[in-house]
Amino acid sequence: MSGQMVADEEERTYAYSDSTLMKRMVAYLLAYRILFLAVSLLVVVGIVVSIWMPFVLQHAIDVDFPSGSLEAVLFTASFYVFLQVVAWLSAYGNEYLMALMGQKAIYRIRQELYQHLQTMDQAFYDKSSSGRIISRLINDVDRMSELLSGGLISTFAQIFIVFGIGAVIFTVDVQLAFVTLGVVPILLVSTIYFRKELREAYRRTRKTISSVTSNLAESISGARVTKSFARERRSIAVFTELNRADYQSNVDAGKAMAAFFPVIRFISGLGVVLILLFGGSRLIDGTVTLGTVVLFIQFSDRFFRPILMIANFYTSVQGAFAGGERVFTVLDSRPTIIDRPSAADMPTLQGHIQFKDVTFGYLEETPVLEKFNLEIQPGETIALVGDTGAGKTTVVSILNRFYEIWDGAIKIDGIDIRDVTQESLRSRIGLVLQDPFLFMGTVADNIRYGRPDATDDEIVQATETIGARRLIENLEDDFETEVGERGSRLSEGERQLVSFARALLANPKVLVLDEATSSIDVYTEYAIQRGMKRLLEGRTSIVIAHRLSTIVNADRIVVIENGKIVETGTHTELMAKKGKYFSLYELQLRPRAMQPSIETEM
Amino acid sequence: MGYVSRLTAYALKHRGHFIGFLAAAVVGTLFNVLTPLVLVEIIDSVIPTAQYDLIITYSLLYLALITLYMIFDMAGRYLAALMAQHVIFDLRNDLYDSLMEKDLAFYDENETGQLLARVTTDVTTMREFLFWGYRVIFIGVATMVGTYVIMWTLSPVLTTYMLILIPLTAGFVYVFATRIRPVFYEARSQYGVLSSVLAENIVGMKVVQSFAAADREYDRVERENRGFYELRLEALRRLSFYRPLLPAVFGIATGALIYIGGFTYFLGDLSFGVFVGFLALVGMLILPARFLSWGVGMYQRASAAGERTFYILDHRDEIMNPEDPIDLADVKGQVDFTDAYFSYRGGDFILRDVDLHVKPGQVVALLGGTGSGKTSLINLIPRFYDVDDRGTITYEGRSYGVSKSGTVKIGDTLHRASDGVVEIDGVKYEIQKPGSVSVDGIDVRQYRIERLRRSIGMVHQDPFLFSASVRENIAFGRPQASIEEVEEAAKAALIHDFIVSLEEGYDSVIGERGVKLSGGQKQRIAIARALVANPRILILDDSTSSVDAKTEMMIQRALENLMRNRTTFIITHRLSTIRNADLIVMMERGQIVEKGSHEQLLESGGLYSEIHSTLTEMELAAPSVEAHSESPGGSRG
Repeated sequence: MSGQMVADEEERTYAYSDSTLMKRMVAYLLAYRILFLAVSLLVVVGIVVSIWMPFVLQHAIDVDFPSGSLEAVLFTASFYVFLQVVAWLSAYGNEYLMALMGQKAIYRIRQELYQHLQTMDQAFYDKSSSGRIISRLINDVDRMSELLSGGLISTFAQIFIVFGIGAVIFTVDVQLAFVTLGVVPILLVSTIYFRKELREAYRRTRKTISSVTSNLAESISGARVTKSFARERRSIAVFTELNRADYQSNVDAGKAMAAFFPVIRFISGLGVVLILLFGGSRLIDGTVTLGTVVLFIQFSDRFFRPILMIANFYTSVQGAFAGGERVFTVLDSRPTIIDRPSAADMPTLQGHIQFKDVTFGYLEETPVLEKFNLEIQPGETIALVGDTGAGKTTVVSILNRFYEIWDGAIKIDGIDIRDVTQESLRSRIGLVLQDPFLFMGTVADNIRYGRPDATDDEIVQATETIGARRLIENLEDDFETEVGERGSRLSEGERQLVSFARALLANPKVLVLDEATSSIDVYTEYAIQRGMKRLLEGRTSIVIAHRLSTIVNADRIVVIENGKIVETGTHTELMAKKGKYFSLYELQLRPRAMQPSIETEM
Repeated sequence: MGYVSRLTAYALKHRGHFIGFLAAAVVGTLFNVLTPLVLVEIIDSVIPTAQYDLIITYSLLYLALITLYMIFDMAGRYLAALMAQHVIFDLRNDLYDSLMEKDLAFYDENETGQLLARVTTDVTTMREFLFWGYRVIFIGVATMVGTYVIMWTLSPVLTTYMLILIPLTAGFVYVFATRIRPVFYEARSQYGVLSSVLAENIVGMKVVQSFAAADREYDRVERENRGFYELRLEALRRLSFYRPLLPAVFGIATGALIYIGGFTYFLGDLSFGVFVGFLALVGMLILPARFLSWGVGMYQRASAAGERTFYILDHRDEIMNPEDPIDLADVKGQVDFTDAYFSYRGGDFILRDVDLHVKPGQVVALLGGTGSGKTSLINLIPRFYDVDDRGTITYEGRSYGVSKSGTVKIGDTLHRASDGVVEIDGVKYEIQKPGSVSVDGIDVRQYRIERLRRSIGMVHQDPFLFSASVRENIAFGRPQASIEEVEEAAKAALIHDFIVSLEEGYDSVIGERGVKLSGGQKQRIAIARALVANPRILILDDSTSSVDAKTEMMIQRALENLMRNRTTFIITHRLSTIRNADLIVMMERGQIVEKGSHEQLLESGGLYSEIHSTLTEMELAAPSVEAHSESPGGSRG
């Protein structure tokens, strides 16, 4: 909603030339060759009919009326009606088929884009904010919709109509044809001029409205603060100023907008004046028939809309290009992690994990882990400890193969993780994130997420094991409570417990848990501590630990500093060593209270 | 109907513009419908008499007509734009004022994004209506009337035939409104569903991948995508059917005109000029049909948008200054909750029978799970909400409010109260008087709200800062504060060092386009902000935190500086803070279940001692952690 976002939507990177973009978009349409042919045919029918109609009128005036034959008039009238019906049906047919083609293409582009995004690795998601990616899938794809489902083809049809009429009228009367076409260049030039003016004016209004919007957004989100400091009056004054600026820029833009359409229509009317002037004298001379003059008046009116449409085309094509460019950029980016052709499914795990001389970094030449070695026995609980940025999260991310390591190997039960499919690997490893993500749906749906076939009993069982039964009972509809978008209707602690139950039900042999740094209210905190203990039982677990109790309860503490393991051992062993862990403990972990011992935070 | 007429009331405040643009639209239309008459005259009078110079005269007349049409049309559009902008300006200001006056319950009930949309997108929709809506309807009707009148002067017989176009136009407008728009709305809402599924999957991609649910999610996306495709296609199909139908209907009318015209011509009742004039006039009648169906759509949209927007203005602000407000000065900081009940707008009780008395300078720690009511409790002090002003009775362990009219609803039955009692099944239940919250012994509802709120400081764990300079943010509650005062507060909040390390120091702008701050930094700026405001009563919501240990230590120090000599209510998870509080209040389901000092509560062996010992036990799993000397810390930023 901010000004930045508005600007971003307009920007082009020109990663692709206009012709490349056009070709790729058209390629989507051309996938439906038969439809395309049918549309082209119907468009031609439509053009022919629309050029034909004024000739029928001409015939009526010049031939039928003077002939005095009612039959001839009836025939011409019926033919005119027939042409109208054909025009309607062909318009219906081609507009519908264009929409069909375009919507099929949009559907496909969106589906392809989503599928592609599913295969992209974590490095890709790190680089671009999820908001931007979502905008590709939703807004940018939609920006192509209008162009693909009609805009493109009908604009071409309009160009043909202009040329068609231009050519045909010369066969009728050369002088009147020149007169009629005389206004077309003026029409074009002034349309282009106005378009430019309008774009400028529009740009200015966008700036002012985005200030209004961001001020509003901030005022609404910050209402509580404004109220608690009783600052409403001042905020209102600030807003009124911004609102006034927006008013002014819109009024300025209003001038250009008020002039545009009437002026263009006036120029088109000038054509009729010229036809009257020249045609009128020649009617008196008898060098032209009344039907012909009527024909030209009818035609002169038909230049007007096509030219407006062609002028609008530029705007709509720019929007579609901007959207298309961003969509294709994503489609053309290749995932760096691809299953090997020979990749098999990961068999059921025992849970032995080995990092062997692993080197990895996010940026080239800047390794985060160097020659990292760690062996974990089945069933062991490892607590990873270290400063922020030491590489704890990296260790668990590469185990899931969210990133590809540079050198060395990671083996689970002796199998190199690069030799199995990513999907099977990840389905064998449970992952509990610090800020658990829930999907829209009920609590039960979410717990079942990793094992869709789980029975209700199993869900209850899992929840009980985690110790979250009481918490869920207290929710509005028990297990059927809707969690809302991203779980927003649950508290943070409740989300964590649900994610524990979800992981437990999936029952992975290997579990990776990024312990939440935040601690909730004492109630939930205590439920979470208990739940975690249950969750870790009987599994190989790697915990990025923040809480003393978690660390102390681990089988082995692994202290990481600058991507290297500096110490391993139990709490007591490490404390005795008086090394890195000891100082970490002194600085961060030791309960800092006036009284000894108890502190929920690290 | 209601909302559009309210919008019109706004528009009528700018009567001059309103009448001006409608007049311009009508006059312009008049010039436009006159143009075919020039053709008629040229063909029927000028040509047969071979007056060459009259051709020029009539051409110039035609030119004059289209010029006047252009000028009036331009004027009408400009005046309409002015009027629309004026109205939007007024409306937005009213909305903003109204938003500033709302109580917090309003913000709880309405999501930020939705409120924002009501003030932005919906207002824009109404502007479209203000600009076009009245004009298209006026122009449509004026064109139709004008065209028929001119037709009538030319040939009453042909006009009679052409009257058939009126019901056809009406039919078209009706069909367009009922057959097409609803499907577009459906497609629009399916688009919303598709968007949220896509957004959810992108944000949760890591979870999707780690549960190997990619195929399932792909199917889900495909289902919603297909649903959208089908609805949108159906909407477009109907549009493709009806849109070219309108010109076809008028084309068919033209065909009929040829036949009837020919017939009348043979009878000698019709000239060529009149026939050509009719062709042009029938062509003009297509405009009203187009405009009216367009206008109806705009009306529907504006009405829906108006409903959403006026909702904000109509929503009654429940918390207002009393008639003779007391100006709170020299606050001591005594806070008393006396039998306080609270409900959102008279719904179920969120707080029940809260009795809590806090002396100046005391620290109160509030404990309880989500929904226990601790947040509602503290929001009563600055009057973000008011206590329930209904009397209550307690029946079978539950509390019920007695309405103003003296009735109590229990289950589905309504009981009447009389003389301070409610009789249910022969048993009399006494009505308890409504409770209150007071500061320094006076009910908070008697103070001037601004003064009350200024004497209360609030710091949230995830505080809201404005996109302004650091200095402006810290001085938010007292804009006239000197830079020295601001710096002093920043020092006490342990954020000064960080601020001076920024390129522009205290003038650095924070927020989306400026310096991005971590959670801990934000919180400390909020602490500094509260220090500058220097309130006697403090409310600290410190229930969650996602900061590293060092930062947390700094926050705690800063909070200690802030709490000194102030009455403090704190929601926290820090056991050390809780233990040091003068009063610990445990809440469950809207009630205080335990209160007392740490020692008292441990002794009484209730819920507090249970939780405390469990958490302590867990920590004690750490072998022999002995008391060390003062904890290390510092103000590194």
